[in-house]
Amino acid sequence: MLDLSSIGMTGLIGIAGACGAVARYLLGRFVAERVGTRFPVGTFCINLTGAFLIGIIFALATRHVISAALQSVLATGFLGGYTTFSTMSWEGVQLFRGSSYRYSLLYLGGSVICGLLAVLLGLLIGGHLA
Amino acid sequence: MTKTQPLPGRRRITAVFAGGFLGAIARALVSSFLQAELGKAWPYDILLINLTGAFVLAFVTTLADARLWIGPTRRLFINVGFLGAYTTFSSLMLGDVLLAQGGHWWGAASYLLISLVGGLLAVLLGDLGAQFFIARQQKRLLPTKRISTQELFAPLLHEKREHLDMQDDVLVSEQELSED
Repeated sequence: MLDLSSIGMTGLIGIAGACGAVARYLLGRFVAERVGTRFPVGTFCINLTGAFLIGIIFALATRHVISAALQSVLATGFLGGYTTFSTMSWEGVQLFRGSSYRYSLLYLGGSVICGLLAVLLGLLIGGHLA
Repeated sequence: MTKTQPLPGRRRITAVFAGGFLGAIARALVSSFLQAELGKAWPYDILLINLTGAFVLAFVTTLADARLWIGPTRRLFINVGFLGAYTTFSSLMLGDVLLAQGGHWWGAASYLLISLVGGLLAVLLGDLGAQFFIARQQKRLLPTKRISTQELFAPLLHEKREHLDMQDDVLVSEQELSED
């Protein structure tokens, strides 16, 4: 369990979150520059890879391969900073407003279904790694 | 599509890094507080964090699009950095899988549905709130012009507006969004 009385731990989560946010920003721009479509491919890829990784980390932590503290830094910190719900919701509404409600449903539905599958895959692979 | 004056790379990264640092800490603190208050059986903490984050993101983005108080650096700091790190998709997905694996199918389904629909409503509410706020500011500047509720609500659903791209300071019109 995360001990928030520990300032050091909170600081580590903050730094990991900051690194995750910068990684998301750079990767998002990288994808946006290369993919010519306005479909939010960047956020989609970021959220899916993040969901996959959190599955691996959770599986490793439950088998005590990594400590609960490292799990907090990696999952709450880095992956929390890396993946985003707010931008996804915003993009979902933007697609809807651009009168392409099918894209909006495809984007949000696709993110959730693929996200759940990515977590399951991560849990499975993490279980084998441990 | 018109490009705004681009910010220097270091300034962008610093804004996102600083925002992400504070956003991740804010989430850890709010999450542990909410878990202590509401328990850990159902992920109320992540739901409330995600919905409030989506609301504020829409509010700030609408202000930024209206060029009111929010410039490119502040937008990167708040939206891409802070709110991006504060809200989370990975924990939402993991939490949902864990609920389903524990046999709480109803809990898992409601968590997912409330998050998604709530996120869309939070964005619309945040946008509406900001529109209301902007209208009030304009009214203060131009006291003779009354803003009807119709004028206030119409842009939310019908008007083709321009928005700053999430990853960049590039204006994107919604027309382009639908054409691609």
